Amino acid sequence: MSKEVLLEVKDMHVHYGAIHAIHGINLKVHKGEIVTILGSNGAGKTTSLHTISGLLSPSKGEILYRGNRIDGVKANKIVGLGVAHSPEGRMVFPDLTVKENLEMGAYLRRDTEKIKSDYEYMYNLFPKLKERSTQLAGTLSGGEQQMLAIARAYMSAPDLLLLDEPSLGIAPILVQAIFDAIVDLNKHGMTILLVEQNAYASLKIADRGYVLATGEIFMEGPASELITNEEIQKAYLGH
Amino acid sequence: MSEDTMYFFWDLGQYLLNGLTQGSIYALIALGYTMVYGIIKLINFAHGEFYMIGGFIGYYCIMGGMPLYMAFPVAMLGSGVIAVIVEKIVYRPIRSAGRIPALITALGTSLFFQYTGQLIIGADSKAFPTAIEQKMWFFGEIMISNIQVIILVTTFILMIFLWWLVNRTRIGKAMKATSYNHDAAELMGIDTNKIISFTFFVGASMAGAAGVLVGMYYSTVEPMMGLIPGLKAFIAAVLGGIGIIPGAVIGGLTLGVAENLVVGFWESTYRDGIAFLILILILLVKPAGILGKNRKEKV
Repeated sequence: MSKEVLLEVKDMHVHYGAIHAIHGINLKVHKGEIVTILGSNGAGKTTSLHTISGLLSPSKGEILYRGNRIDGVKANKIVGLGVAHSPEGRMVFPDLTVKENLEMGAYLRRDTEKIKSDYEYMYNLFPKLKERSTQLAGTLSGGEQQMLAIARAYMSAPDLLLLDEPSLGIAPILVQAIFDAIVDLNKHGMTILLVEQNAYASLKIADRGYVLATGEIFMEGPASELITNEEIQKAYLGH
Repeated sequence: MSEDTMYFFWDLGQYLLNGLTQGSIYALIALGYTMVYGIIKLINFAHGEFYMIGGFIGYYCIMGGMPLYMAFPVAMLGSGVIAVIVEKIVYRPIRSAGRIPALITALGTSLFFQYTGQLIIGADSKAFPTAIEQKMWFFGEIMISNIQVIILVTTFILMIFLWWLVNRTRIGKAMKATSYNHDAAELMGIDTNKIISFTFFVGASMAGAAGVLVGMYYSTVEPMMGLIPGLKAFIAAVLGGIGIIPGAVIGGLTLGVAENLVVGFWESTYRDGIAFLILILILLVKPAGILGKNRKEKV
């Protein structure tokens, strides 16, 4: 693939105190791709995303964004560089309204006009959010909160969107809507790194995938190959 | 209406007025307690000392000939700046160590200011200079002084300002975001350390304002003056629901009124006992405080 590499993780190790959570992983995300990281609970998926977005620091290795090292840069600076992270568990601000949550997403931005059109895009993508724009985020259903978390991350006008378990704990009827929205965002040019337990749904929309187990990548490849891989089917697709 | 009943109502009115005055002071101090708790889950036992510091800055400013309307903002600014320094060099380094070490550090900081104050300024209480001539007005049998009016009006203005700051400004919303979850706020690009500093500044400047007001009201300041009001404000904050800003106001006013009713209709020696009794009773019935709620995660 000759496309520009947006994100490159090189031999990244992460420690939680004495626990060695990530054992030197390598991954690449090209501009315009949807890349998914699969793996069971505790495999290190969330830890990897936290380290990329700066909430954690790697104990070894490099993280390059557009060729520049961002490991060790604080999370509140990395957003400004163009990497937005919609965290696991949604983490929307319950005491702020839906609209205010989106404003927080655009916290570092000053381009008022572009912000306005981004609100419109998000409200079109998630009409529920428009209906509930003056409601406190804490009163939304889990699925609506997930939509808000994604929209809020988008509001920072990123080039790379990190999505952590967007289908986790959500009514099944809304899961499809969320995945449709991810595809829509990607069609509008957004590059997406998607962490999921729902392997089938994410491989269906992804270009490439990495499979993480106990802090190491044990398989990687085009999504279309992974989805038919026997080992993956046994372990993650329930066949 | 018999004359006795008439007097009962006049008395009641007077105690309520005094209670609201006292309570608005508690509320001003409680606001900082609750804001700091909301943002870093620290019970800042040194918060009463920011009130004391505000009282003394006001004292020295007015002694130095500064008019009240200038001494007041200077005291607020001074308390705020000292709180920012304390947060930076004392609380920030141990923030990740957990809540108990932070609590013990706060107690230590409180003692540090109380005794350093005694060392530098002296343990005796200082007569607060008369910044303005006291005037009294009567509404029937209810007496109100111009200082009470200043206290009530000032606290009201400060509370409206704080409400506006927290709910209507970008930095206020960032405070709410940070108090919910530091990581989530950082992911928005919010520099949570700056927001925490700012919260200490605002909270302590409210306490500093209260210090000047109390200096005027009781005409004295001393280095230990933050101890009891600090504890009372803590009670007020817990009473209203710690971490909840309107709760601090409700808790402060409730406590002030309750204390003054006890003093008026019963016995002034029971005043502080009643304050703690109220705390215990409310917490038995509603452990999260008057406005407190238990939040559940939604699916």
